[in-house]
Amino acid sequence: MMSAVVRAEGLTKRYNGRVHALAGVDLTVARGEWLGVMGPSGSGKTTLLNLIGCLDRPSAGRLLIAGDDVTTLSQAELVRFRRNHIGLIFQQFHLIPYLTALENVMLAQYFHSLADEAEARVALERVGLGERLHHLPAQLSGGEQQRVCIARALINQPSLILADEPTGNLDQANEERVMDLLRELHAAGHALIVVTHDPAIGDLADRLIYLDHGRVVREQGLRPLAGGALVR
Amino acid sequence: MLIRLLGDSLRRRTRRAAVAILAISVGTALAAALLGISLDITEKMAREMRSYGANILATPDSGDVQLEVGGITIRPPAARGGIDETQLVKLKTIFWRNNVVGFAPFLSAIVEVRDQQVALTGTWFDRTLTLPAGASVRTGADTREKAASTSTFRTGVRVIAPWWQVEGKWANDEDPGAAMVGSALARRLGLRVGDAFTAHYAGRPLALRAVGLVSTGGYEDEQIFVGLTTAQGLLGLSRGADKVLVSALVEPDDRLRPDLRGRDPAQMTPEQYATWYCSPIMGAIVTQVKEVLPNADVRPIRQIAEAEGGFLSKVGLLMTLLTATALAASALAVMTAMTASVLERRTEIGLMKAIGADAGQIALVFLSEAGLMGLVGGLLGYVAGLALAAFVGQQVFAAAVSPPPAVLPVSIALALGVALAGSALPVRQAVRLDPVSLLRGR
Ligand SMILES: Nc1ncnc2c1ncn2[C@@H]1O[C@H](COP(=O)(O)OP(=O)(O)OP(=O)(O)O)[C@@H](O)[C@H]1O
Ligand SMILES: [Mg+2]
Repeated sequence: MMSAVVRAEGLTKRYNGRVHALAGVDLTVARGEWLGVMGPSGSGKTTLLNLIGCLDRPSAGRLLIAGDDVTTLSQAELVRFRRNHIGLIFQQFHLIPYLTALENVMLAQYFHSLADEAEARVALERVGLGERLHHLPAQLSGGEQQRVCIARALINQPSLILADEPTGNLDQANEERVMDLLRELHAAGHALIVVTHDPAIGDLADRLIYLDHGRVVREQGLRPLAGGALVR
Repeated sequence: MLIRLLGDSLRRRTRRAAVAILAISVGTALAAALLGISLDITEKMAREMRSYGANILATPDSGDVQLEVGGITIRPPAARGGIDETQLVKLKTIFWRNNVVGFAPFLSAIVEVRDQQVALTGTWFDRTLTLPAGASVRTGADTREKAASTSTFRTGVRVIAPWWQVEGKWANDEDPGAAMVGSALARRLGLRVGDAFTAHYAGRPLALRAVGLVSTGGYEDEQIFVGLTTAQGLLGLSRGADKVLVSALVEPDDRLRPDLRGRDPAQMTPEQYATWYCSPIMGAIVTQVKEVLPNADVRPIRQIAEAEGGFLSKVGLLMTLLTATALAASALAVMTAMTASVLERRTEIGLMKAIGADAGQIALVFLSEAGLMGLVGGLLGYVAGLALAAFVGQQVFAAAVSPPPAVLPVSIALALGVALAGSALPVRQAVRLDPVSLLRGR
């Protein structure tokens, strides 16, 4: 069987010892798979992404990413791990306001290893922002800002891209644009986990899971994975 | 990339950065001024203290009224030259002879040079004296022995006042026409090194040549110095001096045996007296000097120096405290600015962490910002400190200050230290920020 990018077993996150944001989630994401995550507000979708994104640590359970058990990693190792394996796309774009589009992308390169302007330029051209390299976030539309985020998320060639409601703040046209980009990323072989409220985006996924009260309540395979490998 | 982050951050927070830089400058300015002053002025002041090298003064023991003005002893002509300089070699026969660093006789007169009244002083510049074999030397309060061999030693102004700064050459004691002219006086008289001039005393002319100009920052700058014999000739004396300064190594009185401290030697038992006599303290050495210069009134002048030294060290302490406080205050100001900066940028920090910044990279962003402020503040503070030092030098110490170049790197290092110390806590705070809650906007 194909090696899994993400393998979670009994993944649990409690806040203040009481709130069960996640209550024992079992999950596998195959290499190059697109997993959609849906569920009502407060069901633990963001919490799940934060755990997989190594931004936060689970209260219980095991979490393997690219074969490594990240629950045993030190803080510094987690950072290094995130840098090398994970690209993040947020609902609120989250760009550094005083850096240009190009510099925002280069910042991720800088933290990863070395800033490479030519490479950053290519990444922005790929998301259709070749003409807006030197614009500040404030000079870009929401859709354009989100595309900068996508360029930034893919700049270090992560095996896994996590997107938390990437189109939540966008209008129809920009949503289309971002969805196209996600499709391209998927086609390029990145594994994607996309949290969304929008069934149209959910339908793009290879597989959908539904969360409620911190549990996976439903799972739906939409299409077989490339290479014929079937997900359980 | 780092530079870009820094530049933007400073540009957007110009006012706060300016305040932090100003605070660093103030602290550094004080530190630089203190350093400059303590390295330069206190030394000058110490030099100015006329009895710095010499700590024992011998004057002729006469009941005559005498007056000391500007370092010159004025006395009636009849009382001139009350100390016989040929006896001075005996200072090397006292019990603590090895503690006698040097001595010099002085004989002064007011002469007229180029229509101006100026003080002319005869002294020994650099003399080698010989103590013949067989001379009687002290070995205790009541014991003596004959010196086994002939010994020689150097003495004179050059030995007891090594801080004289001489432009040109030192005068030769054997050269009757050689004079050393105080720099301030030379400027007034329009004399330069090598110039010949004539001094008149009681109508008699004395042909002199300025072989060297003296600067000490003290009264020496206003006098003419000649060989003792020349001054004696001018005054019509065959021998004699008005005053002798002795420089002796003396230990503080608390080095005395505890039961002898503060006691009058006259009241001591012979055994106690012998111990007191053989202690290298001021009282014992003064007594021993008096024994070889029986016609002289001998007294320590160390007290003045010590008092001034105490004053200097108190001023130094005060300035150090002030500087430490100012530096601490600057560090606090930096801390306030950096804390505000960290707070304001916490989403940014969370984002940087989320896209892969580790603790070191986050710290680097803020520390280099602090370092930059420290560098700028340090440079500004250095410049301001020099100005402050010059001002304080003029106003308080009445001397020009020329701080040594080492003050610059020290100032910068202090400023950087303050900036980094002030940033330590805020940076720790930044490094510990949790990206999850920041990105959620909590
Ligand atoms: N730091 C926290 N402290 C306490 N409770 C928290 C914290 N973060 C999240 N929670 C709780 O955990 C639960 C899951 O939150 P999460 O953000 O994962 O939901 P979500 O599915 O992403 O919701 P939404 O669709 O509104 O974004 C919620 O009940 C939330 O209140
Ligand atoms: Mg959410």
